[in-house]
Amino acid sequence: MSHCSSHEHDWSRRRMLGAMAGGVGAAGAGGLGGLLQPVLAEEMARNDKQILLIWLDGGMSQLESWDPKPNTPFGGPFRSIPTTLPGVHISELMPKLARQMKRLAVVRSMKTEDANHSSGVPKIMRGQPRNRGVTYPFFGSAVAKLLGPTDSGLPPYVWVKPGNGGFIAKHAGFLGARYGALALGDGKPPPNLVRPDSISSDADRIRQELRERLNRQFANRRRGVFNEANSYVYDVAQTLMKHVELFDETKILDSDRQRYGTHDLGRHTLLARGLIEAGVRFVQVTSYGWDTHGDNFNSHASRMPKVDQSVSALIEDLFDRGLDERVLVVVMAEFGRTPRINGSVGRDHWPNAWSVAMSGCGIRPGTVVGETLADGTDVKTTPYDIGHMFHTWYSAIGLDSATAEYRNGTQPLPIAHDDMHKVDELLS
Amino acid sequence: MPPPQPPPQPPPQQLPKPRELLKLDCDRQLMTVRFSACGRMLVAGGYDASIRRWQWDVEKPVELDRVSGHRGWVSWVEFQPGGELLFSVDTWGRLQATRGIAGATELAWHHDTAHDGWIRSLSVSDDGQVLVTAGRDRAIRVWSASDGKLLHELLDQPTEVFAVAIHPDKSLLVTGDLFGVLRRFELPGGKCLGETPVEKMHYYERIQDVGGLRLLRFHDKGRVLICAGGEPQKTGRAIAIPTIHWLKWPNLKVEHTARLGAQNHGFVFDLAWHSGGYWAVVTSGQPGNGQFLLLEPGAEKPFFTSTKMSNCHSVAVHSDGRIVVSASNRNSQGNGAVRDKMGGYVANYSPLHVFAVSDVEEKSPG
Repeated sequence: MSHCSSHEHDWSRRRMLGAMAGGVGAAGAGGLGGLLQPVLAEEMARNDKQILLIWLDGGMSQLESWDPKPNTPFGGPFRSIPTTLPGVHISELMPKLARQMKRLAVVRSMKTEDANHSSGVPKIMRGQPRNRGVTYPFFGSAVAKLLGPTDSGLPPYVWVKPGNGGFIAKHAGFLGARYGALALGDGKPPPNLVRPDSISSDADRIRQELRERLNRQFANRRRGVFNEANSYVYDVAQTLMKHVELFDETKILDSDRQRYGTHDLGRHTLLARGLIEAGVRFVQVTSYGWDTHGDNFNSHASRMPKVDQSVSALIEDLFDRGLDERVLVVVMAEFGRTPRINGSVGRDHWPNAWSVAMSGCGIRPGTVVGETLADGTDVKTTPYDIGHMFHTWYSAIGLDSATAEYRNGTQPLPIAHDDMHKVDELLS
Repeated sequence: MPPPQPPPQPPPQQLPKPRELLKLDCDRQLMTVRFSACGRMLVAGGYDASIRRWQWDVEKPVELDRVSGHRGWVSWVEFQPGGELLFSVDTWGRLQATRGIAGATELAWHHDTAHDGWIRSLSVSDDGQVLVTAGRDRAIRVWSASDGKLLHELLDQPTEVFAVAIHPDKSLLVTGDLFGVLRRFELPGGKCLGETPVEKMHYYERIQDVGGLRLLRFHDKGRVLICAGGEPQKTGRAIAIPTIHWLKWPNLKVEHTARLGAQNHGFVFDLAWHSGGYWAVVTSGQPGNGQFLLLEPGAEKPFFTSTKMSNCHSVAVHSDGRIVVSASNRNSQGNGAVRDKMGGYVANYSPLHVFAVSDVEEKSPG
C-alpha cells in the first residue's frame, strides 16, 4: 500500500485508497468512535441525516441574490421580485427560487471576519472555531467524522467539483486523512472504477481473496488503527464500484437534465442528488469563478440563472421525494460582495453583511432571519457568524453541538465555536 | 534621361493632443454622457435613476435640475437628431422621451415596461424618426420617436441582446448578442437576414458567458459597421482586451481590427466620432484600468492614449471639438468596509473630465 499525502491530483482508485490509509490518525468501523464520546458514537450510528452543500466559490453577491436593495445607492441595476413568502422579495435573477421560497430559510444578517479568499474559505468551511492549536476539519470532513458513512457504505464525504478530482486529505484537519474529501473532478468517477472486461468476475474474486490474505499479513505487523483504516477504505472502494450507475450519463432522464441545466452546476447538482439518494452522507458541489471584482452585474446576470435553475430543481426534488426529512441543503460562499460598486462595475469582498440560504431537514421552511440596513452597508439586527450556522446545522441533523466533542488524544474539542449558539428561529 | 523624381510627400499630418481643461464633479456613478445637437447641454444617465444636466454654453458648466421618471439605472441616453427630444432607457425596462432639456423639461411620452428589465441598448435613426431598443428580455423593439408608438417588435431572440444600431437608410437594423453574434433584420418586416459570429467576442468558462460585442455603430453613411467591445479572456473579473472591428457593409468583411491594450484593459465602453476625423474611445477593465484613446479610421493603434483616468465609461464630443470623458474616481475598489473620516461608508462617483483638442502637434506621416 503506497502512502500518498498529496492533495489534489489526477488519481485512481488505488491512489485514493493509498491517500486514505496514509493519513490515518484514528479509525473505527463506520468512522465512529475513536475521536468521539462513546455514547455519541452509538447515537450517531442510527442517524440517517445527510447534507448537501452548494459552495459558490469567490463570493456571490447578496445584493444580486437573497438581499436585494433595488433603487438604493448601492442596489445595482436589477429589480427585486416577490416570492411565495408574503412580503419577502429576492433578486429578479432568481425567479424559480422565488417560487421555492416557502421551502427555504435565508439568513440576511451574516457578519464574518475575513475578507480574503485564502484565509476566509477555510475559516468559513471550518466554522471558525476558537483557536486551540489544532486544524479543525472542513464541514464535510466534520460530518463524515461525526456521523460516519450511512448504511450504504458509500464514502461519507464526496466533493463534486469542476477540474481535477482526487482525494483531498487536507480538509480533514486533525481528524486524519481518512475523513478527507473524495473529489470527483467534473463529476467523473475515479478512473478504473469499473472492473475491466478483461478481468472476469472469478478472477476479480480471486484477486479480492488474495488482497484480503495480504491485508491480514499486513495487519499482523501493524497497529490496529492502520488495519482498520486499510480495511475501511477498501470496503468504501468496493461499495463505490457497486454504484457505477451513478456515473452513467445514459441513465439520466432528459427531463432532469433540462430541469437542472446542462452547465457544470446543473450537471454536478444532479449528480449530487443521485449521490445523496444513494446514501453519501455529505456532498459538496462547488462552482468557481464568483469573484466578480469586474463586470459584476453581467457576471451575475449570466451566473445566477444557473444557480436558480439547479438549486430550485434540487429543492423541488428533495421535497417531492420526501428527502427533505433527512437532507439538509446549504447554499453559501466565503463572503458576500461590497455594496459600493467599483470603477470596474464590480463588487469587492464583503464579509460585513451577507446572506446564507438553507432548506430541508431540521430547518424551519419559509424563514427569513435578520435584516441589513436600507442601503445594505451593515447588519441591522443581531449579526450571525459562521459559528452560529454550524451550531444550527448540527442541531438540524440531530447533533447537540453544545455538548458534543471531538477527542484529539486526551484533548476534548467542541465541534463548533463554544462562544456561539444555534439560531432557534431557523430550526423547525 | 532625367533621374526619377521622388514621389510627392503628403502634407504633414496634424494630430491633436488633448489637454484637460477642467474636471466636473458628479456625486454619483454615470453610464452615458451625451451633448445635445445645439451644444448647449450635456446630459448623463447613471446609477441613481436620474438624468443629470449641465448647461454648457457658459464659462463653466452649471448643473441644472435632474430629470426624473426612471427607477433603475439609466443605462443609455441619446438625443434626437434634428429634433428636441432626449430618449433614455433604464435597467428596469422604462423608455422615456423628454422635451425641453435645456430648460423646463417635460415628459413627452414614456413606457414603463418597454422591456421586461434591463434595456441594454438604444439607437436612434439618423433622421430622428425611429428608435430601437433591446434588452435582457431577448426582445428588440422599434418605436416612433415622435409619439412613442410601438412600430415593430422582434421577440424571442436566441439570447440576450447587448447592442443595436439602425442603418442610416432605415432599411434594416443590426444587433449584437451575448454570444458575440451579429444579426441583421429587415425593416419594417423584421425578417432576419442573416447572422455572423464576430470572432473572439464571446467567452464561456465556469458557468459564465461573457459577451464581448457591446457596441454597434454605423459610420460613413452606412458603408462601415463598427463592432466594439472586447475579446474576453476570463470570467469572474472583467478580463478582456478592448477591441474594435471595422466591418465593410453590407458584406461584413472585417476591414481592420484595433486591439486597444492588454487584457486588464477590459472593454470598449463607448466611442464618439470627432469632426477632426478620428474616434474618441474609452475603455474600462480591471479596477483602475481606464483608457481614453484617439484613433484614426483604419488605424490599428491609437495616436493618443491616456491612462491617467480610472475606469472610463462614456465619451461625448461637442461640436466645438471639446471631449468629455466620464470616468471613475481613483481608488474606487477595495475589500471590506472603506470608511471616510467621519466613519461613513464611502460611495464611488464619476468625475467628468473635459478635454480641449485645439492644441496640435505636427507629425510627418510614416
